[in-house]
Amino acid sequence: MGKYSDLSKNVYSVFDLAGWKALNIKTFPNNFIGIANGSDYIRVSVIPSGDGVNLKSSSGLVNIDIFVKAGLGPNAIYTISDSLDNYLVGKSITIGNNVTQFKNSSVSIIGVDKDNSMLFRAIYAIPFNHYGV
Amino acid sequence: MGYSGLVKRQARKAFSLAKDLAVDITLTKKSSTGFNFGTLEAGMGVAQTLIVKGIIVDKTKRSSESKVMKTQVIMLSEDVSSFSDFDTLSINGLTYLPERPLKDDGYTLTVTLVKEV
Repeated sequence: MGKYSDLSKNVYSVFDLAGWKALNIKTFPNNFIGIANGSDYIRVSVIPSGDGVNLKSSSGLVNIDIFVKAGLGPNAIYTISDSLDNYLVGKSITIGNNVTQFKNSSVSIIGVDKDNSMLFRAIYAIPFNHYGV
Repeated sequence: MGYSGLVKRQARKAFSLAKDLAVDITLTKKSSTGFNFGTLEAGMGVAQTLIVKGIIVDKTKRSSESKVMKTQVIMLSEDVSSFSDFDTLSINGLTYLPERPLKDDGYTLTVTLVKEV
């Protein structure tokens, strides 16, 4: 496959792990419209916006929108962020000859979601380097 | 019967009196079973179809370069209360997607349908 498809496969494979699924955090990629309104969920976007060490490599950010019920305090956001950290921070994912290495994460609080005021939104972001051959 | 029931009955009667102005709309209701991160594909449930009446009140094509035709339709709220993100509507063999926001006054539902032309 191509550079971006390989990267996407590596990153999204994390959310296919039995351990992640067992956490029961509803997880969707971007451009997927079947989202359960009114319940906590995350939406994962891979943004390969940077250079790589060769023409089959890249770097960038995995941006994860975290949506939790509005008005119940910050706990849910940080619990989900910690769960994401357990599967992403410092981890290296290899599928075939493609390796994706994650660095450290950060969380930005955005506020009440503009499309659904029952939800509160934060962004969990983690930079990565992707090495393809 | 209260006023609410009376208005609902009159709205249905108006659709009946509209005769061929009220066209058959095939609503295909679909739901997602989630996203499979192993195959990177969306899972879809079994589709269900339903035929309802609708009155087309407007058609808009923004410009000659625009590839999108918008069609505004009024339906009875009793027939259709909401759409999922995967639902489609067919009118005269052409398939449309419902656009948000929907406008529902409790008796009639006004929805803008979009289609690439």
